[in-house]
Amino acid sequence: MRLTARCSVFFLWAALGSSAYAAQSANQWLQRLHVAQDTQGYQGAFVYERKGAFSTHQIWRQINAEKQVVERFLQLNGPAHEVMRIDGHVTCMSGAIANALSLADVWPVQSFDVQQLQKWYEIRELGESRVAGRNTVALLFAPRDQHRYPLELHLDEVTAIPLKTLLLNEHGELLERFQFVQFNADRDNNLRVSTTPSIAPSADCQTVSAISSMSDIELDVDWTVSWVPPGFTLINSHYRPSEDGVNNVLSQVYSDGLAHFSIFFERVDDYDVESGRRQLGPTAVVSRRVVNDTQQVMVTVLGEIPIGTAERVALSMQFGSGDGDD
Amino acid sequence: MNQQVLQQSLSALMDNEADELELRRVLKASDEPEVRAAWTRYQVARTAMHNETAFASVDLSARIMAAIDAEPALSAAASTSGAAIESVGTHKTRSMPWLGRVAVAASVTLAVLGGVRFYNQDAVQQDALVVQSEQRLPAASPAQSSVVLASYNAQGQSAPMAEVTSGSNLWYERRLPSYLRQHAQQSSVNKTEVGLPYARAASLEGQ
Repeated sequence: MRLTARCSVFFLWAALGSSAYAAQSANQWLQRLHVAQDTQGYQGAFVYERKGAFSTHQIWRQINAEKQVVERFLQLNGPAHEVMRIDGHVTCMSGAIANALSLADVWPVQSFDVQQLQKWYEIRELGESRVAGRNTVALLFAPRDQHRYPLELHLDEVTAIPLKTLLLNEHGELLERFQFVQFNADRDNNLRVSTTPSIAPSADCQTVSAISSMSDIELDVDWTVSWVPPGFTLINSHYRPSEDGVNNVLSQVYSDGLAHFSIFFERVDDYDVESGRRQLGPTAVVSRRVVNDTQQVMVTVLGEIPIGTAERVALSMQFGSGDGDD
Repeated sequence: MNQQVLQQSLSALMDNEADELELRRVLKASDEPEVRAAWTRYQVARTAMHNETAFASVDLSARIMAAIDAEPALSAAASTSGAAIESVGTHKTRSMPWLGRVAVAASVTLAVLGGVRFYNQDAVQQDALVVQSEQRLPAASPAQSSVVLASYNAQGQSAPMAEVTSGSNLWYERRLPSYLRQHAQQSSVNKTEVGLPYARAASLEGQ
């Protein structure tokens, strides 16, 4: 009897202790990740998979003498898409990827705020795993509401670099996979910089200045959405002519630190378009035609968020206080 | 006992691990309703386990069998093969043409029943846009999509879509790829995903 009581107390203590330990341990991993991404050089090959796509890529990553992160990505199958990024800024891109977008806006670096993330995700350590022949630790970012997807992250035990990222839907089904198949970490970065040849782009990689970038035009519309899911903040907003130059498109990007969605507003007076919903792998697309007295606007919400959430954002589209201006 | 062995062979065939002997055993018994029912059950279970779209439990074998019977070239070939065997030995003369035909029909049946799944998967892979949107659209009930079979899958699912959005298609075709690209490229990069945004953007090219 006494033994039973003692045992149950022990198990209670063990259970409480381990859950607290798990949370703390997950935090420590995130802190290590935070540091590693600025200091760790590596080279490796990874696969990217989602419904309708499977591709293989090579990545080279170095910390140069100025302590800048130099990255080069190259697609290994199909077209040789290539991107060079130095210190978070894209310096060159293969022609196929580059388009009218202003490259200054491509993949802006966002600070990694664990405190902020924990407001919207519960971060748990799932246990040990193995990726690309290396021991890894699996972390789960479980959303605290229904407006974002769970994310599973496998960090290399030695370097804390993410070797595998799984995006799951609300039913735990796989939406997207990013996974290294081969990974070599630089042992000592200072040493490596001097001994390994620096990363150089191929001739097909166009430098940023060679690609025509599009600047914003003056905003003369009052399109807005009145609801976005809690935690999502506006990180980017542009008003530019569309690629075919017919209409002007207002585009906005929102993020909660992990997930992203974009909203595109465009006048569709000349088109006979209807509202629609689509799911493209991990990306939900909801379009809605909004009409007022003077204009017909297509609002398209697009992102790696549940389609119901995307729909709710699209439904909240409204014309600002001024009632259109043409 | 025999039934159990058969079930095991069936299971092995489903897992693509059946050897020659097991395949023959299943083909031989493929006319029995129990075996056919078991095969369908296994397929349904497998579909459920893999979280795939609903499995269509339609048996085309009767129609395929009839079609094969109606095929003059094949019956001629069967009778000549029967004749050839006749010259070799007398014991199997009667059963062989019949068995040959059943074997062909049965293997076609199995191929079709199995093929539904594989084709489905291919269709989903190639045509993620259409299939996925169909799944999510409230109008497309699972009951409707489950009767869509094999090669009709892609067309059957895209047809209603085309009707619904015929007017919008042009706009979608022109805008959606561009929107997707912009979204992929404008997404910010944080510490957790260095290569992911790049891979996403690259995967949208040439689609």
